[in-house]
Amino acid sequence: MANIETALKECMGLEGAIGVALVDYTSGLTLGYLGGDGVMDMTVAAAANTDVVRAKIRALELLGLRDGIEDILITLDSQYHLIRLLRSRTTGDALFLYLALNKSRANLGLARHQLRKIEADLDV
Amino acid sequence: MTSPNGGLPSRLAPRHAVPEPVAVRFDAAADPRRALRMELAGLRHQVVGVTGCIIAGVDGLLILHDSRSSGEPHDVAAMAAAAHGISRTCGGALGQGAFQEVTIRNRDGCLVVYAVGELALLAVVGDGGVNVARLHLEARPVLGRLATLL
Repeated sequence: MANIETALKECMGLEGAIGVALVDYTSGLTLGYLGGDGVMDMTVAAAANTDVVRAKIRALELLGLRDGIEDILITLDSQYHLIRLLRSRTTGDALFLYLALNKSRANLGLARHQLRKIEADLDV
Repeated sequence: MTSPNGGLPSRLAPRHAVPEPVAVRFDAAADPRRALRMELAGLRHQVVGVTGCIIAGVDGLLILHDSRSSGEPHDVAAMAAAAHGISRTCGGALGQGAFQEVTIRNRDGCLVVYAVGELALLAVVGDGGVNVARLHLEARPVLGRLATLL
């Protein structure tokens, strides 16, 4: 099992990674972040994307879908933004990993696969 | 002919007629605190879950409020000042400088108190679902503008 620091470093090791944050979406506060330098403020990204995650959860509620969100992919002109929700463990924390990737350098399929592994290993 | 103007329409009333007292109306545009109210309303609209914003003096007296919550604004102002008091004492004892903000999170809501300059406080009451990080981000520019307006 990896701790938060290790998991964030592994995420930043992915090809094309711009920044990564581990976010508590009950408050929008970050448990940790790396990168983002000069491109985006990761704490702002965390707070703003908390609303994205909440909106999707609300959408599922309205649709009456008894299902969970595995990940959310947002494609910009020059970036990929990957949001991966952590499987709620014993503590019942509501957390997600937020990863920004450079579109021209990243391999989306590989990044998504590796993010799944990092998330599975992450112990908060 | 029982009316005082002898039954004439008011615009034809004699010059010496005493004008009827005009009801004092609240004119939003002429409200000197309009800019402050707009800031508070803006914050409440921008952050989902914010139920009320209050500006209070550090002495605990209410200056202005924009509350939709059940909490009595005067009580919230007093509580904000109390929270500010303990926070400032901590800051002083730990040598961490002037007070900036304090967040009290409860199971079903929160109270966040920010310093507006030296003498005033902005207290924000939120429900259980408020995005605290977003609130901090949105509050920062509001605090600067409130400080100049006050």
